[in-house]
Amino acid sequence: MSGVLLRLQAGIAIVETGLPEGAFKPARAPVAPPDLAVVNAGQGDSRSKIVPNVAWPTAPSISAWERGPLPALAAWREAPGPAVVLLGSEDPRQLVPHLDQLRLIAIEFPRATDGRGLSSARILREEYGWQGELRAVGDVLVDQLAHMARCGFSSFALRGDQSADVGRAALNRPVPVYRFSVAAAAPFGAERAVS
Amino acid sequence: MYQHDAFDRSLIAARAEQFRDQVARYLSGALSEDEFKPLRLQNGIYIERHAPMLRIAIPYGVLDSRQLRALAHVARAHDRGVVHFTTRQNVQYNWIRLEETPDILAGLAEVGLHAIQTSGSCIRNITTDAFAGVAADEIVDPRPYAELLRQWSTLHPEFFALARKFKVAINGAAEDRAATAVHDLAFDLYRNDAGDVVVRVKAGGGQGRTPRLAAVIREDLPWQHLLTYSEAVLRVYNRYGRRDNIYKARIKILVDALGADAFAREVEAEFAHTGTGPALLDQATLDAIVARFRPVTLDAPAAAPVTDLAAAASSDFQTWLHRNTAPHRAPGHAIVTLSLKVPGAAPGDASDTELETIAALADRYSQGELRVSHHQNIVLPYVRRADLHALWQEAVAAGLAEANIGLSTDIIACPGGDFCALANAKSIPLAKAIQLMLAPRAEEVGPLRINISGCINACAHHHVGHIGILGVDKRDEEWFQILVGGRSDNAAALGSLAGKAVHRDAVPDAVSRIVDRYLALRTPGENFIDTVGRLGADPFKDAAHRVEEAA
Repeated sequence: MSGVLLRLQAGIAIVETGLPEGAFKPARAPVAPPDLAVVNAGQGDSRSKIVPNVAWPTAPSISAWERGPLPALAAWREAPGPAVVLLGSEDPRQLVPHLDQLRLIAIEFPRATDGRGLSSARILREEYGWQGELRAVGDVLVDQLAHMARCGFSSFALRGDQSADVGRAALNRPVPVYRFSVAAAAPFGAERAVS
Repeated sequence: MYQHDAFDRSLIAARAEQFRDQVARYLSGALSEDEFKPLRLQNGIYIERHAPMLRIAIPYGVLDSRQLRALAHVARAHDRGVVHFTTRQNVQYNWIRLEETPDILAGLAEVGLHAIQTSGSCIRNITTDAFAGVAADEIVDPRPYAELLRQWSTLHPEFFALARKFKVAINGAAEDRAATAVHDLAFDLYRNDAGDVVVRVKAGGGQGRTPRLAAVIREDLPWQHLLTYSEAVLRVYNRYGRRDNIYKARIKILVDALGADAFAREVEAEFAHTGTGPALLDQATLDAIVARFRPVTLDAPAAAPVTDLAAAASSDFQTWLHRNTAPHRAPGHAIVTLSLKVPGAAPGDASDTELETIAALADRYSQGELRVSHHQNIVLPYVRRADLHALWQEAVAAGLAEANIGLSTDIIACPGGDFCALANAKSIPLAKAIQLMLAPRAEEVGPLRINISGCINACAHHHVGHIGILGVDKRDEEWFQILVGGRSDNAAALGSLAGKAVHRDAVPDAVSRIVDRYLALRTPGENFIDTVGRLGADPFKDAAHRVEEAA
């Protein structure tokens, strides 16, 4: 089984296939289409279904990139190499003294609902001028790609079940967005002045 | 109001098309339930108790008659003919079919309406004073700043997967009509000694199960940093807000845990980076935004008394004038509030035909513009005083002249257990019962804010109601806690609990007893909340509690 890497080159997404196992999160199990009659009938009293506590993974879902192993931050500190993967909870500023030695910084998205890595990306790009490859890994879903790209990610290790074509189209379709939010140097988006 | 150009329209249309694709992929099974949920939420769709619900954004509560007619059309064509106005200046449809939502949003996009970020763990619709731009006590018109916040927060890529929802309010008047104290992030606009517009920044307010009033984290912030400072606050929250428990994920918990001072230091440290970023504003940008607001003509004669003899003679009209109009900044004008709180009807609901009538009134009397207030009423911001009697007569004919703004029958209520999947209790029947009980003496009782939430999530802001009522579940029966002394204005305070919970059937009597106690204790001309302020909540707790024991 091999995975798909989408890579932005001069703002255009290209598809690279053959990402090795361990370098992308495997596909989730297939799901059946929803029954609209059930959806439209509502969910009744859903109070008992609320589970307030949320468990988060404590380690990245991946351990490799196409050029070799991809250590998590603690392991990378022991043996610094050209690539490292950060959790959303890990401060990217820890890497700042070492940016010159790095070629790839990957940031884990354990779920699409964890947006911490988006702040990590902007910190590295906009505050510290990191120019190297910034890769989204984990639950990298096609609907999140545009946001990730605008925050400065330049490559995307799609989760195993995600469509490379849909993902590439999402990255290459110019989406109107207001300016203000991210630096004009962000490699994506048809931003405009307000006047 | 802010006029959309081709770019704004293309953004909303693109978003609607994107959502159409997401719905199609969900229906095909390509998107799982868990994957679709945050996507539909960020387009305002909940799956409620009996049907999907669709929430449409009314940015800072401003809309025009054309948009109101479009909302009426959706109510007729896709719902059961009803629109519900919410406490966040939005509107909701409670009987929607999921597969129709792409067409609904495409239709609304044609008039500049959308559901972007009306739910989900992101920056929600920006809210402000419903009298913004027209209030006599206004210091700075907050609308251009609210519009800047809207543009900045719309599809902001860094903050679309926060730990929890994030609500922002902005106020520019002497009186806080925007309930800023109970928002995640809030701004007061004012002028410094040099006459420049500056901002007071407050963070960590909120209601729900851990009610907190927002703490001031920055004074005298130059307005040019409104967005860069917001970005610093949001970044601190995005990175450090708790994600291990959904009940502890709002920014108020983070501000509490760090302490407001330490939180402010974290923000300042982040601001050192964001302060020079792309969100930094300048005068040209603000001017460009201001220029996009449609000019209004306010040239009524300054004197403009209400001279009509019939008008002068009608005590009903005089009462309505007293209760439902507010001072306007422009001579010869008034701000009119149309009440959506007719006793016995669901608070904040309007039928499609009522909306059509209101749109016509706006066209005739208010230059086609309206506001949604967070009190769930409709405001006509540009009425000439000379037109007030004619407007009132038309409103009377349409059943829209209830003269109860700010009174005890102007109840704020959430949809509650009739619709909401999270509710412990039904708010609407209780609101009706209390309204009908208090209606005969509402004028005598005077200003009294009653807020009824069907559950701890506090959508109806019960913590800041003068009398707050909260639905709780006891052995599958509906019981209600009663709070006294909350307020959301400049003297914002959280209500305190008046004894143990009361059975549903006993609540109107308990409220009535509290009102009796107030009438007995008040000094001449003293409002309910001021009597509570003078005497404390204890006398009122006692009143509620005696009923509870008797019940």
